[in-house]
Amino acid sequence: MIPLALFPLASVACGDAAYLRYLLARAVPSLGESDRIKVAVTEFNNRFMDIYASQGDKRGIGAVPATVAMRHSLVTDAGSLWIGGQVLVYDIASLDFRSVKQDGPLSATVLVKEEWNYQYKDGKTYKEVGQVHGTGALMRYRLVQQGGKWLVQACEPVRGSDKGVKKGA
Amino acid sequence: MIAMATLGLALSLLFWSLVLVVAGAVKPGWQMLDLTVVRFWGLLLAGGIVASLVTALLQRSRTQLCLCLAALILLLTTTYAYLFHFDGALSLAEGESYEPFPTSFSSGHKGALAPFPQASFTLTRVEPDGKKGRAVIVQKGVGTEIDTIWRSLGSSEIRFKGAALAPLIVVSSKEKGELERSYVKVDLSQGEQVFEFDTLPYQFLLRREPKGDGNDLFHLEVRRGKLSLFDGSATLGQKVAVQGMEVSIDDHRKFALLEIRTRRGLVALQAAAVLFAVVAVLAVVRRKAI
Repeated sequence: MIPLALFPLASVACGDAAYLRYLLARAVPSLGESDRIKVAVTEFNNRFMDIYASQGDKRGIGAVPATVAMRHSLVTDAGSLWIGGQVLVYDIASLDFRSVKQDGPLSATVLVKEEWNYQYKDGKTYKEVGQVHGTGALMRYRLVQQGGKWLVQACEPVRGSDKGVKKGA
Repeated sequence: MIAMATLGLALSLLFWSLVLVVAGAVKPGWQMLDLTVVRFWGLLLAGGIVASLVTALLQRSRTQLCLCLAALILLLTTTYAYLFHFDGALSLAEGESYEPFPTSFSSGHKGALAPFPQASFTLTRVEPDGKKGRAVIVQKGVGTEIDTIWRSLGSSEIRFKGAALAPLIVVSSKEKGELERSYVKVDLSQGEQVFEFDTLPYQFLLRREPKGDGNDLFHLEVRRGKLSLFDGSATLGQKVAVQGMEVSIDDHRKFALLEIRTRRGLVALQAAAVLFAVVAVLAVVRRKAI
């Protein structure tokens, strides 16, 4: 019986606690990772907004809960906007979590109905270029758990949503 | 005492492995051995088996000695097979050659000491003469037809998994000319595919329209950040305007989805497992007879 009880403890010590938490969540759903996953997605979008609102300032990029490839993608986007002489300012109107599914101990898929307002601004004067627009989409986030943290690995729209609909602010 | 503790370790590992597999936390096989705790447990088990072996020698217990030796051989062959195995999926377009680099593979599993398969070959045809499930590779001037059955490829094995069409995406701007021109190895027969280029801040969503003239009508969406910049149909060669740029699907060509694997020591592992099972059964029978 001792080795049987020692195995979970060894799992935690070896950094495999995510597997135990997954087992626990399967047995008791209320002990799942849903809240931590939602926090990661919300934080990702808040940081996403900050990068654009700060005129493409990428100093906070390291704190974005995303994989390296995803962070590079954000840098490419913010950087090219700046080069083009404009910055894009996003503002979250709402993030409505439709489903949170843990696919395995280290991966999860989240569906979020998002509403955003956005506006282009001049990169030098920070004056508004054009009007404030609204956009909405049902987005699918794929997350992975690395070093005990949930990170956004990919983000893509789900078909059948009302994406790209101009609604105004 | 030592033997009992070792048995406890083995049973505990077996129990937790089963729980993890049944719960869907890990797939059986190599993925289980990727867990740090399983490797750590394996080390404890090895220590326990060696200690039990020494005890059996001191006590001159032949049954325990045979069991410990069989268990040790099983543990060693498993470790060897795990460290040197390789499984990888890759895609090659017609005319492309395989290169033994990590970037050649889209997914896979590689043992810590396993080299990338060193075979050299070129994929010349996908589904030759309309034969489904087949492709032709050329090694040292000799053509070989491969199908969904594993075939020898040097010290490794290869098989054909499927065929797909890679669209040629061209992105250009009036000021800078052509910004991107590459075949994207996405399988459009699997529905809408999402892809990006490292050089561009856009996300492309592409699928084939079912009711196109021939097979040349696509549905393309181009996104940037949270915004959809273009969402509509595009025919082959048609240029669509996206935020001061032009995007077109200029061509598509066939590519093959292949799998390569290297399995070292697998026969020894299977033989060791059979040996251990036989020795364990004999030990139980002998104990009952006593």
